[in-house]
Amino acid sequence: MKDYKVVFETLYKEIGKVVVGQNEMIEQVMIAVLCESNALLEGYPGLAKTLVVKTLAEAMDLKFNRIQNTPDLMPSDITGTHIIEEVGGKRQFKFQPGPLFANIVLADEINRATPKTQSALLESMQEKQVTVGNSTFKLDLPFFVLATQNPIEQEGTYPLPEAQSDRFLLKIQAVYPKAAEEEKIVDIYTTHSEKPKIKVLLSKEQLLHLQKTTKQVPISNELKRKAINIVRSTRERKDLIQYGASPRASIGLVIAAKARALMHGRNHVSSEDIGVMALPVLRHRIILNFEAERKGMKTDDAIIDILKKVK
Amino acid sequence: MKFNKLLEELNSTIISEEIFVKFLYAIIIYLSLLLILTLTPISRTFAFLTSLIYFIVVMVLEWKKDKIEEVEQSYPNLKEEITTARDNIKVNNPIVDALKKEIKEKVKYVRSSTFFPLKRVYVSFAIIVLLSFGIVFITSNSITAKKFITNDLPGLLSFGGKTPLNGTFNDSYATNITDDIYGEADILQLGNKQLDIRLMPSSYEISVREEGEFKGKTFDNTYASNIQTESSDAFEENIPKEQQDLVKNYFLKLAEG
Repeated sequence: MKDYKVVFETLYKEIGKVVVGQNEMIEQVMIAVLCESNALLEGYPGLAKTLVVKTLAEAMDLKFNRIQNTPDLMPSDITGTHIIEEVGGKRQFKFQPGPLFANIVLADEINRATPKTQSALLESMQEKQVTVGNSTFKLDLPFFVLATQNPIEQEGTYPLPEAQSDRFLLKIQAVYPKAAEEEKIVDIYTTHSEKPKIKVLLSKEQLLHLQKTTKQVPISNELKRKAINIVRSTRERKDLIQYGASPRASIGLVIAAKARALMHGRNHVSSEDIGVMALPVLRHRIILNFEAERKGMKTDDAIIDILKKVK
Repeated sequence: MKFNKLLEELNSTIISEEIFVKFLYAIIIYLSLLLILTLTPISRTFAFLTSLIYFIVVMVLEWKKDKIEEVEQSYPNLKEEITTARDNIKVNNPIVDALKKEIKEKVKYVRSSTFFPLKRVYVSFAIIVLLSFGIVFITSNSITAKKFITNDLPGLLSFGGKTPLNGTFNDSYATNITDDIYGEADILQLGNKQLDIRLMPSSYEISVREEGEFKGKTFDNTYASNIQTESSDAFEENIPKEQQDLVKNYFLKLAEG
């Protein structure tokens, strides 16, 4: 297990050459990757959201594509489309894959895309496949979508419906760096003319092995029940929450806790893993009621309150 | 060693320690009841039976208990690991196997003495010693509940009544004592001589000492008047005179040879 810890520590160190701070964000993105799932990244512009994902893709030798979502972006723009190709004097249709045909896809500002395009993206996330016309194309594994949302400038956006945001395993919050970290960022990007080179540390096969290993991390029945009780509490706490999390959140919480345990070199899930992962797993799956909002509560506050009460 | 065997071993070690403590409790119950029953005419077998039943019941209950939880509580860092490994005991994959191996390594450093309830054992021993002293004191002083009620207690235990210490022999031992271990008063007056009989609590030896002045005994000289002696010839052999030398020589030769 210590070997796994060393692998991830080396990975962090390598990413740290380019990304300063944001350790929590990097860890949670990595957790989503290990869980074969997707993550929603929320943060203000300029917080290295794209850089983190791009650097991670480089360190893991994965194909990376970025989609900048706009209201006029069509589903075929991301899935790909059939184009007419001339071969030997004959014209024929050929499928031209879109940016979804990659291992890591960064869907920037997903809430700016129309619901139609969002649905196309969500299908690929869920089914790991793309349907164009009558043809279905399997996506290359590992496949991971990291969608970003900007908490400001909400005008003219199409916020993800709750049912769709539920498909993201985690909602990761990018936070501003500390003063010392910001100073280091400035130093790196104003002193060096070239961007530091990132070594490939994990192959595709190794990543698939890690994903398989994540599911093998054991969890005690007590902690499993705790995770389920936390999720169930979001449905039962009517004093705070209008709509609670679905059973998909229970699955997500347990698997995310397993991934965290693996990354920390532990061969079992601890209570701390459940507590730490409850926030990113649940924050996009619950809707506070009017009373809680009136009191100025955030979804994280409600989750922390639940965590305190669930034993 | 297999993981479940290891857990069983750890469990039985802690259970045996707990049973030892329960055994001490059973002794305390026995001595407490014995102390009470010594004051009453009720059979002392009752004390033994009660403590025996208690010990059997407690032993059965203890044996059924899962003591691994105690290990988990004593070693919180092992709690999650042991619980997880136990819940996944039938799962076989490299991670679970590594977890089981790790626990085995860590359990090596779990000292069974950690679970030994030293404080409870000390207190139990102290109570046992006190109760034992109490029983010895009560039996050696023949204290009974009846004596408590009638305030007929020896020595310092009396509450102002007459006792051998503040009374005289004649008006206490000889007249008042009727049914205690000194027996009937008239036995003490055998031969109209004052006796001091003491039961030694430690050795149970009885020291009998005559008191008073020595009085010489005179014996009557009543010998028979016609006393005469008579030699007995019952052992003489009837050997003819002429053969007596022959026999004599025969025995002399035998003596020489």
